[in-house]
Order: sequence, then structure tokens, then C-alpha cells
Amino acid sequence: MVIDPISLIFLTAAVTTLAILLFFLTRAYTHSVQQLHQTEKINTQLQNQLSEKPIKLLEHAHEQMQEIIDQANRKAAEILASSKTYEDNSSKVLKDKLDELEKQQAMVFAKASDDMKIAYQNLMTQIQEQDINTLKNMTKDIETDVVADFREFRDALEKETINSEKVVKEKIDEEYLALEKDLNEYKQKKYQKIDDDIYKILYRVSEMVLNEGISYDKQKALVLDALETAKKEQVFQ
Amino acid sequence: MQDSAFFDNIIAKLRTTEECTQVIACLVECSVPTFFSLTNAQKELIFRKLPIQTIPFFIETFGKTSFTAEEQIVIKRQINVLLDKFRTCKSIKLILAFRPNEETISFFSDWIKKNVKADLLIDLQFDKSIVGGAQLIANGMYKDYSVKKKLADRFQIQREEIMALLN
Repeated sequence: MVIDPISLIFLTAAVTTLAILLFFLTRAYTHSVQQLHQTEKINTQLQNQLSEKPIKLLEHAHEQMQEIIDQANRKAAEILASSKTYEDNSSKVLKDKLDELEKQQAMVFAKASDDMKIAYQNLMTQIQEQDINTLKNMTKDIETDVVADFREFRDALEKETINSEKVVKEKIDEEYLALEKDLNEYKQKKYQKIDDDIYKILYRVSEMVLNEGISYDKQKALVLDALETAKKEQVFQ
Repeated sequence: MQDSAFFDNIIAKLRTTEECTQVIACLVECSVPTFFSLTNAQKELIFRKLPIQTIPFFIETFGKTSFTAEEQIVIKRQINVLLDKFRTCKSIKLILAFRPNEETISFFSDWIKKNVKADLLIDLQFDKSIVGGAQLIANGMYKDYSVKKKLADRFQIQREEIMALLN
């Protein structure tokens, strides 16, 4: 078999490249394994350090705490001692101050009371004067109003009186007319009654007179006249 | 007995409806079978109820003492005919203010029979309130010829004048 030289060169170059690449990769791997190993080592050391340090810290903190408590107790005892002295002093001072304050207040109150009394008296006098003035004004106003009202009332009364007179006059006139009408009607009725009565009376009187006055022969003649008239009027036909 | 002649004789003598009623009543009594067996005295008692001017005609006709059976039948039939005629007689109602005597009734009846109709009767009635004259009803017609009506008319006319005088 014949191998092409170009292909051979190319193949050689490729193998060489791969070999170089493999070399570098191997070296990089070795380096990484070394770094990992070192890191694990450091990690182990750190873990050991961490497991020892809290115990020391706790111990140190306990010591400091004990010291601080002792100091605080001492301070508290000092403060309590000093505060009792201060309490006694301050109570006395406070009492004095209160007494003094009470006296001052009493004086202030007395003065204020006097002032208020005077002010009240002044105010009362002023109000009294104002009231008197107001009353005077009110009296005047009332007087003015009453006079005005009275005038108004008098005018209204005069007006009403005049109107009433008119109304009364009209009413009287109406009543008079109605009365006159009634009277006329009454008169007419009476006249009518008189008319009827007179008519009846006269008629009755005439009947009575004629009944008594008509003789038998006259009666006979009247009947005969009636018969003759009936004959003429052809009543018998 | 001729019934028409009897009727004419009687009606000529009758003046009023009252008399006619008496004649009718008498005829009714004559038509009863027992009438023919009555005595003259008994018949006279019946005839006395008649208007006086008609009695002779009744005595003449019904006064016989004896009637045969045939005569009785004939008379009865004639009486029935007469009754019909008398019951249908026409009359004039005459209302007067006075009570006329027999003479006056005859006078009025004669006047009516002469001037109106021979067989017409008068139905006389009395009413004093009409004062005088007469009110009559003939052939269903009413006429007032009374003094009362004349007075009323007169008063109606002069009423206003009387009132004027009184006022």
C-alpha cells in the first residue's frame, strides 16, 4: 500500500499536536490535584482552630462578666448610701419649700380674692348703671312704641269704625230691602187672602140673601129660563 | 090589554123618573103569579104606591077579579114588555135649588113633554147651594144655568173692582 506523503505529513502534524495537547492536559491535572490536596489540609487546620477558640472566648467572657458584676455591686452600694443622705436632706428642703410655697399661695389667693372682690363690685356697679340706663331706654322705647301703637290703633279703629259703619249701613239697607220685600209679599198675601175672603164672604152673603130672597115663583121662573136657554142652545137635541 | 096603548097612557102621565120607578115596582108585583089571586082590597094596597095619575089605568087593566090561565100568561108577557120599555125610558136630570110642589113638577114636565119629547122624564134632584136656576144633564151633556154660576162669573168679573173699592 502506498501512502500519500502529504497525508503522512498531515497525519504526523496531527499526532504531534495531540501529543502536545495531552501533555498540557496532564500537567494541568497534576497541578489541580496538588492544589486540592493543599486546600484540604488548610481546611482541616481551620476546623481544628475553630473547635478550640469558642471555649477560650467563653472563659474570657465569664471572667469579664464577673468583674463587671463586682464593679456594679460596689457602685450600687455607693449609690444607695449616698441616696439615703440625699433623701433626708431633700425631704427637709422640700418641706420648707412647701411651707414657703403655701404661704405665698395663701397671700396670692388673698390678694386675688381682694382683687376679684373689687373687680366684682366694680362690675356690679357698672352693670347696675347699665341696667338703669337700659331700663330708662326701654321705658322710653316702650313709651314711644306704645304711643305709636296707640296712634296706629286709633287710626285702625277709626278706619274700622268707618268701615263698620259702611258695612252696617249696607247691612241695614239690605235688611231694609229684604224687610220691604217681605212686607210687600206679606201685604200681597194678606191682600190675596182678603181678596179671597171678601170674595167668599160676599159670595156666601149673596147666596144667603138670594136663597132667602128668591121667591118660589122667581125660582120657578129661573128654572123655566134655564130650560128655555137649554132649548135654544140645543142641549136636548 | 094592548101593551103599547097602556105604555103610551102611562108615560103621558108620568113626570119624573121616581114615578117611573114606582110604576116599574108595581108592574113587577103584578107579574107575580099570586097577584091574580089577590082580592081587590089587596090590589088597591099595591096600586096606592103608584103615582096618583096612573092609578086609574092600573085599576082598569089589572083590577079584574078573575083571570084565566091564558090571560095570566098573556098579561105576564105584556108586563115584561112594559117593564123593558119603562126601564129604558129617557130622562133629563134637573138639579134645582128648591123643592118644587106637584103643580110645579107638572109644569116642568109638561114643558119638557111639549118642547122636547113626549116620553121624556125628569130626574129631579135638589141642591140648595146652586141658589137658583137649574143645572141639567141631557144626552150626556152637563149645563149649568144656576144663579150660583152666574154669581161666580159676576164676582170673577168684578173682583178687581171690588178689591179696588176696598183698598
